[in-house]
Amino acid sequence: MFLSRLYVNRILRRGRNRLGFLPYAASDVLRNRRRTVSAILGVLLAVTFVAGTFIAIDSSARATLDASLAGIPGDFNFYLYSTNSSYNYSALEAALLDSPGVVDASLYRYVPITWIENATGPGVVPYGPPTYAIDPAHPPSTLSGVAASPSLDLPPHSIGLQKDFADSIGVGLGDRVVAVNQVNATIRWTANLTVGAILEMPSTLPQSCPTRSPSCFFPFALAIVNLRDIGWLLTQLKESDTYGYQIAGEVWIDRAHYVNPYDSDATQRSLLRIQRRLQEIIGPGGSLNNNIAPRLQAFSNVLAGERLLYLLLSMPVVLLGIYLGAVGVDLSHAERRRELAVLKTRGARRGQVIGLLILEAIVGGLVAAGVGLVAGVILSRFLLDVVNPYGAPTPYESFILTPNTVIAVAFLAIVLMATVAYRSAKRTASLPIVETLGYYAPGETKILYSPKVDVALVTVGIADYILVWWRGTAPTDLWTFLLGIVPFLLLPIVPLLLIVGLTRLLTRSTGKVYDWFSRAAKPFTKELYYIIRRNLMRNPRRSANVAIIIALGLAFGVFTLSIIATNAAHLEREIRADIGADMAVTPANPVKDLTANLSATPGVAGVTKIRAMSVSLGYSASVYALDPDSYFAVAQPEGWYFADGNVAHGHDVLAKNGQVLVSQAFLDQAALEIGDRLTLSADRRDNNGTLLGTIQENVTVGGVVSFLPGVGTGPSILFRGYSGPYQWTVYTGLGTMQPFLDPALGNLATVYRYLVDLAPGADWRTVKAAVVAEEDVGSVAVTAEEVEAQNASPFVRAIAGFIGMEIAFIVVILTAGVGLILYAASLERDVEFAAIIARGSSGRQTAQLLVGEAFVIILVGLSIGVGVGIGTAFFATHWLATGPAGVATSPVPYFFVFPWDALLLVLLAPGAMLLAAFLVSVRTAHINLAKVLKLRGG
Amino acid sequence: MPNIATKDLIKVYRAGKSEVIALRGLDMQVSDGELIAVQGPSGCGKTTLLNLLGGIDRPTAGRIEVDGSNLVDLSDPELVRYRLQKVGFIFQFFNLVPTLTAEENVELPMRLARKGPSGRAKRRNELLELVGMTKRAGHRPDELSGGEQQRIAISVALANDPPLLLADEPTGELDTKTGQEILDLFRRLNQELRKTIVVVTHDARVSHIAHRILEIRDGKILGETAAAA
Repeated sequence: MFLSRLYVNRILRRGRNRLGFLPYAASDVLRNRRRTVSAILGVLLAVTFVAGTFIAIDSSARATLDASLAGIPGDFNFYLYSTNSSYNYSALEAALLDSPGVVDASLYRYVPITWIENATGPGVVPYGPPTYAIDPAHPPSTLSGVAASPSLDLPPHSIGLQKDFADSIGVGLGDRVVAVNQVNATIRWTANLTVGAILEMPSTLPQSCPTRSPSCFFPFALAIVNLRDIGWLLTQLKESDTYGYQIAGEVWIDRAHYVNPYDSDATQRSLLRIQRRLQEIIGPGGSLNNNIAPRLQAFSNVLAGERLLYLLLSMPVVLLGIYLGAVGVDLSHAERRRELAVLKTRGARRGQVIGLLILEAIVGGLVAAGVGLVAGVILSRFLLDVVNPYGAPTPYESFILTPNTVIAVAFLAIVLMATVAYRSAKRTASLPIVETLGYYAPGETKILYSPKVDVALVTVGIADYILVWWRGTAPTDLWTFLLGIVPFLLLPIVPLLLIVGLTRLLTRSTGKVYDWFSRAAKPFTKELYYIIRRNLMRNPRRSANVAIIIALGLAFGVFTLSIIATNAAHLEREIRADIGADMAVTPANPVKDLTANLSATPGVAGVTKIRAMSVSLGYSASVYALDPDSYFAVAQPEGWYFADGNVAHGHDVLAKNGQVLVSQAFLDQAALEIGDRLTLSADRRDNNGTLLGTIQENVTVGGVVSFLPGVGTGPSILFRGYSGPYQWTVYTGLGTMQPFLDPALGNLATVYRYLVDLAPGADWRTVKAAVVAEEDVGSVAVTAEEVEAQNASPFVRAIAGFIGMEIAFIVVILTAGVGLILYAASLERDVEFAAIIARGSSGRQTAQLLVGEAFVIILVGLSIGVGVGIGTAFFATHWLATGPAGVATSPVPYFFVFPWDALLLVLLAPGAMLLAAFLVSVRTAHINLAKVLKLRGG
Repeated sequence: MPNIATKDLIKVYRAGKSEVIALRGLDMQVSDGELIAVQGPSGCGKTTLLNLLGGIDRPTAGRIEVDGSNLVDLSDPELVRYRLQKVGFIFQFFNLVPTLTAEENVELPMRLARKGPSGRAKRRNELLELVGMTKRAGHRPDELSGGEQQRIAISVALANDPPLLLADEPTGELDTKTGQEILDLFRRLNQELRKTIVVVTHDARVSHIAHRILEIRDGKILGETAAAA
């Protein structure tokens, strides 16, 4: 116990010693504002972004919860059974509405109707849409968004019909219809009803049912009657209530009051109490469901997942903030070299100096956390719309700051500050006293850089790419089995490894890179160019620290924007490959030729017909016949579809009688080669089906394609990775298939699809509406529409918007960082600049030194950053959809895209940084010579 | 050769609400070819006087005439030219550019004056030989002793062959022997190259090289002594 007390006392003494520095540390941080700002700026910017993101997530939590609850059939819904034919629905509804916390309640019943027909005669197809008896004052969620004309409040003995269904049976408002209960072939009971309302479905429902074909819209058809008419209607239809019937209901509660997305326990408790009250009202026989509780359970995971996702997405900003913080701390320690040397001459130990500097860093971290939270609140207003994966709008004034966010931000700030300060503190405390009194400590002249880690990062990255390439091509054996999917698991992080490793290697491994680039400054700085060159070469550490921040920021930005643009272009390409052209029309009647009508539609520039041929090949391959000229004019297939990349050759093969194109899968798996012969055959039969003979046509494999756009069986042509006969396809020209196209042979050719090319500037919406209005048009797919739908995904838009904000913030970090570092460096070099001015340089010339040095460092960072960013993005695109052999991949290749917004970043970011450098240099140009020389060594 | 005359020279430093009057109407004259020492206690205005003579600072009031031109009337670009061509400044703490070698430091004012490479090289070599630093020309300031740095600083000041040299405590950071060497150098510059030199110094040995010693007290010339030189 004695020993342990000694030990404890030693710990306490050590703690008191360290804490004894606390007032000194705190006062240094709070009184030296400029130095503190320079030290904490990087970490401050990083925690500001993280704080802003978390606050935005918290503030939009209610909107996110509401979005996740969208589409539920009531906050509570219930079913109960009754055998009472005179059930008092009004009393039940009133009791529900009176229950505390309930804001709306809806009761409805399903009405069993076999079909509804026009009173003047049967409709095209007898059909019975789902029919509900409702209270128009409290309609169920099924009718949410439905527009009723004139209203849902139906007169007695009337019915509301969905518009397309009403059109199909030829009735309108005020017309008579008959509801039928067809008991059997001979017995039917009817009720005469008047059409009291026409119902238009909400536009958000999948109304991509553009034809009048009943089988298309019937799934969305419905009918309604008033709940008060249910007794009469069932009597007319001879439907009996004596065996029991189901009453359904939906209850909506005051969510703002009872549902708190930040306090799951309290919310669950409130919901349980409400549920108990509702159960009492509906009775023990009723079945009540709480639709909020299970989603609320999942919601806290959703929020946690959001925080984690966006924190991971924020890593580039955090990383840059760390680098900038390290430079800022280094500068602040350098400024205090002499002061710390004096401390040591007065007896402070190395450990005490380190402890002091770390303590200051922690105090600085607390300041950064406080300021970061305040700045984060402002930033969160810009992030509100991009952190919500459901796309639910959040009011601008919505603001929530949770304890979790405050703790997370404070923890992050302190940890980051301590981390960035540790190495610099150790280095500063280790400098010999006599050297720290000099103008430049020797450490400034060397980079003190060990490339081991970065060489390892780059090696792992490149090795992974090689392994992925090898694994994808190598047949499965022991080695590939042992390797497994590890290379593919690492694939997503390889770009990060390469970006960090390469930028550090190129900016820090040698000072020569600054010498080479400094020649670019010669035209601007003229006679003082050699000072820049010497400065950069002999003081490479600080230059490297700035250059790497610029390079990392630009590399991340260029990489991210390029990958996003490449992915978006790939998606468009996939959609276009699937549809085949600007528009694809599937006929409802494959016999009727729609070419002339489609061609005459305003906005249509060309039409081509794709025919599926019912011919035998001796293989399980599909055969399609195309008109080469119109197909290539409309579909405009790109070179990559063709194995030899030659579009013209592909056209010529199809145009030449007796030659065909085959799919790569067919060629490989059937062991075919160019020049091989295939035999197409079909039976000739008369109208009675009697076999008259066989038509045969020998063809030659003239070319190979991965597939032809728009030709196949719809989206399944893009069924990835399936290596069976399904992708075996033969493409022929009309000339080759002429023997099989004789109408006398029957329907060997089925028009599978029409591909349509829109005229330049044509509005696809207008053209689509005109095409849909044509008779015998089954369905229409538009490339532009599907691309729009993909890009409208709330999640995609949220992530893209967040990344856009992040890149803008990266530019802020780069500009603030370069400005800060230059400013601090200029302060350190005031005497040097003053001496140069005293020896005959003008203020402007001396300021050019600063701008010239900044220009060179920015150029180094820009070149390396953009080069690494483009390079990693380019190589990453080749492996974006890669998986081990046998794993499905897209048949559409990725083509690298360097988007305009990346170009904007590359131009604007350096411009902003140069502006910051220029502003700093203005101070140098107006330096007070006498004061500087007097105070600092004149 | 310059004649220097100051008349009612006043310099007031303002820092916030406080004022420090460094010079209170100082009158002095320096003839061409003279070597003048300026002495006085700390804070008496010696360095301020030098800064004003060197065009590094502007007076609050009064005149500074160099060869008939009033420095006060010069524009900023004219003042730059004055510093580049008419005066060479030598500092107590040398103030060499630390990342340049000795010979590059010497070339700096010549580059600012847009001299060609061959002219620069010739002049540089002459100056380095003059101060005895030819063998150490390729070394950076942190590789040189204090005396060597000061010699280089003197070469820098002479680079564009200014007629006037201003030295602020040139031996303040040097040991006795080295300081003597520097003072000897000043005498050579004055006697052989006919440079007009104004030296601010506490070093008593300056009396052996100066023509006159001006005593400054409280921003004014208290008196002057004819020295032994």
